[in-house]
Amino acid sequence: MNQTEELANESRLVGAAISGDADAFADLFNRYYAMIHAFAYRLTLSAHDADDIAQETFVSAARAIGGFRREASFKNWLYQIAANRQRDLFRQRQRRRDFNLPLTAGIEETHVAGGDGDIADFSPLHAALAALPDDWRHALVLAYYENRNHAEATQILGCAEATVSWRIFRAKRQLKQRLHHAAKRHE
Amino acid sequence: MNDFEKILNGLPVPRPDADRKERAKYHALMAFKSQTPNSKLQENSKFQITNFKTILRFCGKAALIVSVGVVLAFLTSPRHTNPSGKMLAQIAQLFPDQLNAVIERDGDTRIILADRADPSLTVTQPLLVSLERRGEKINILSFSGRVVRFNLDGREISLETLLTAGGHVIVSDGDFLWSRENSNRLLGYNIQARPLMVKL
Repeated sequence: MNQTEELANESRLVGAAISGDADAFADLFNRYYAMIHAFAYRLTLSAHDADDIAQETFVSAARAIGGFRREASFKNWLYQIAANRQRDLFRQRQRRRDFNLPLTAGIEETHVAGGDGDIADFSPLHAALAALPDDWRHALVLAYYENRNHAEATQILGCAEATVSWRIFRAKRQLKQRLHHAAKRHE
Repeated sequence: MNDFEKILNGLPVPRPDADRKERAKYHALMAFKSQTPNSKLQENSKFQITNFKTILRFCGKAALIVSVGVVLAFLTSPRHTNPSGKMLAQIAQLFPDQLNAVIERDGDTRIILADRADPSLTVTQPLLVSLERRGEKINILSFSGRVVRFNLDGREISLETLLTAGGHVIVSDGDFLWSRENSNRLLGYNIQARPLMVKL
C-alpha cells in the first residue's frame, strides 16, 4: 500500500470511528499502538511507563475522538495526547514524592525488540538520553525518532517553534558531549 | 542518515508486552463504547465553527502574503546589507576557523579569536545580536550555534545564538532565553537579533 492509499485508508477509519464505529477504532488502535508505545518509551526510557502511557493515550483518544478535526493529522494528535499523558504521569509522581530520583538513577532492564530474552540496557546512549531534561528529550525524540518537523513538534508540545528548535539544539549538544566523554572514559 | 541519527538509532526499544496491549485495547474500546454519539446539534455548531475558521484562515493568509512581501522588500533593500556584516566576512576570511565573534561597543571593536584553527569555529550563518539600553548599544556579530563570552555590567555573559529552521534567531544565556515570541530583557537590555545577509 502506498502512502496516499494509506492516508486515505486512515482517513476512512478515522471518519468511521468519529461516527461511532468501534471496529474502525480497534483498527486504528492496532495500527498505532506500537508506534505510541515506542514513543512513550523514548520519552520516559521505562518500559512500564510506556505501557501505562500507551494505554492512557488510547483511552483518552477514545473519549475525545468525537471532537477530532478530520483535517488534522491523527498520528500527531496521538503524539500530543501521549506527550500530555507523560507529563501528567510525572506530575502525579512528583506530587506523591515517590519520584525523587533522577532518571539516570533509575535505568531499568528492558525487553529489547528483536532480542531473545531480557537485556539490560546500560548503554551510554541510554544514560545520556536519560540525563537530558524532559522537555529537551521530548523535542529531540519527536524530531529524530518520530521524524516530526519543527512545526509539528511545536503543535504536539504546545510551545513556540523557537523553543522547540532551541531544545533540540541544546539536547543534541549535551548528548554529543556526554557520548564523547563516555567514549573517552571507555578508551 | 547522518552520524548523529545513526548514534540515536542505537537505542533499543522494547517490544510491547502482548498482555498489556490486549488490556489497553480492552480499556480503550470500553471508553470508546461509553461515548455518546455526536448529536446533530453538535454537527451544526461544528459547521458554523468551520465556516468562521475558513474566513479567519483566509484573512490570515492574506495578511501573511502582505507581510512576506514587506519582509522580502526589506531584506533585498541595500540598507539591510550591514557594513558590520561585511567586516565579519572579511575577518572570517583572514582567520579561517578561528573567528568566534566581533563585538562593537561605544565605538570600540573587539574581535574574539581562537589561538588556532578549530573545526567547531567553521563559519555558519552570520547573525547580528544587538543589546540596547538607554542609548547604549552593543552589537555582537557571530554565527549560528556559537557561544560568545563577554562582560556585561560586571557580569560574565555566555550568549548562545542559534538560527532556527524558520529563519529566526534565538539567544540564550543559561536559563535566559530570547526569541521573537519571548522578547525578554537581559540585565535591562532590549535585544534585537537577525540573520545577516553576507556572502562568506
